[in-house]
Parts: sequence; C-alpha cells; structure tokens
Amino acid sequence: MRKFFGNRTSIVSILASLFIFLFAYTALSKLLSIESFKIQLSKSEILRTGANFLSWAVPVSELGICILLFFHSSREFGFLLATVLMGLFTIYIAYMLLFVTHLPCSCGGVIQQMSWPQHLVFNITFSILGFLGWRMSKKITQDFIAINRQSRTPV
Amino acid sequence: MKKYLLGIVAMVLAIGFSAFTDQKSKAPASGEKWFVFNGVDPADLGDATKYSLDGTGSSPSVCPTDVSSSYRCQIEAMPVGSPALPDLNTIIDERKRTTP
Repeated sequence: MRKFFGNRTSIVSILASLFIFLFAYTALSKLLSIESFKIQLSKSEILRTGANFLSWAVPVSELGICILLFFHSSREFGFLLATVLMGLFTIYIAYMLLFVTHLPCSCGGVIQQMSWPQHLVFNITFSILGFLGWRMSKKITQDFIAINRQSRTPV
Repeated sequence: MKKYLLGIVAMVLAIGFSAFTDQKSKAPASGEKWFVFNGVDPADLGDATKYSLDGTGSSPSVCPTDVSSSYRCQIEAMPVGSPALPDLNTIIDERKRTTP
C-alpha cells in the first residue's frame, strides 16, 4: 500500500514537471516575441477583439499555473487550472478546425511547427494528463488527511 | 529541496529551450520579404506591380504594428523577379493602415 502511495506521488511529480516544462516553455516563447504573438492572435476572427489582453493574459496564466504546480501544497489546484486551460485551448482548436478556413497559429515555441490536427491531439492528451494529475493529487491529499486523522486516534 | 528537484529541472529546461527557440525563429525560414502596397484602388490589391520591396524586406518599416485597420499597407510574401515583386499567392502576413 505504501509502495502504491509512493508511486502515485512520483507519477504526480512527473506530471507536474511535464506541465511546468510545457507551460513555462510556451509562456516564455510567447513573452519573448509578444508583438508577433499579438499579431497572430489578431488574425483569428474570434480572438481579434481581445488580442491585446490575451497576448499578456495567456502567458501570465501559464506562468501562474507553473508556480502552483511547483509547490506541493498548491499542486491540486494547479492541475485543475492546467486542465481547464488545456481544455479551453482544445475547444478553440476544435472550433477553428471545424468552422474556420484560414488557420493562423498563435502558439509558442516549437509547438507552432505542429499541424492543427496534431495540435488538437497534443492538447487532448495534455488535457487528459492534467485531469489524471488533478485526480491523483486530490487522492494524495485525501490520503494524507486520513492518515493524519488516524494517527491522532487515541489507542 | 529534493522534492522540488524535478520542478527546478523542468523550469531550467523550459528557460533554456525557449531562449534557444526564440533566436532560431527570428530568421525567416522560407525567404518571404516585406513589400509596401502602393496602389490606390481595391483593384490594385491583386496587381504585383503595385508593390515595392520595403528596404531589405526583413521587417515592416512603414506600418510595423497595425493589423486591424481597414486598408492594406504591407504584405510579407515570397519575392519573384528583379526588381523583386511579391508572389501574391504566397502572402503569409499583412499590415494595415487607416487611410487608402
């Protein structure tokens, strides 16, 4: 049981590191070429009006999630936000693929080399991983509380 | 400290990779250049002779940032011929201006 509990903690740590790498990398790539990112966003019909705001809000949110995922105490909430953000990206890509003929890519770093269908699969995969990370870190927190409660029971 | 090791490694890798990728992406990969649109009529938009190379063509100097106004100012496209004119089928970016 302890081995399983330990394994779960390791899996959550690996998932958190994966998301930290992904979000920090894409956020920094966007911030390093913020003007280009703004232009890419403004090419999209549905994001045009909020391009200025989004060009800052997206990378700042990604960095915020990295910080939440970095610390064990806030990891559960970090996974939840990461899943929501990846879900939103996925919905946006699915919408663009279904309804828009001209597809501008506003993603960061080497990820913009992906085709849109590849990007959709990538985002769905990370949405699932984020959800798994959230569930597992939630279970770890619950187990930790249960163990502590048990240890306080008088013999 | 040990429990944060993976997170720290991920951060360092992300910073390293993003710095590396950004420098690489500054060079245009397929040779597109910036052209200024000199036409006055909407019919001129499709006429390549109404465009001229913007300096060396490496960046949009006439309308550097405007992407939302109504009128075409500059385009980024593959150059053809000498003097260079844009191949209008290869436009990958555009800048706008407020007046025709």
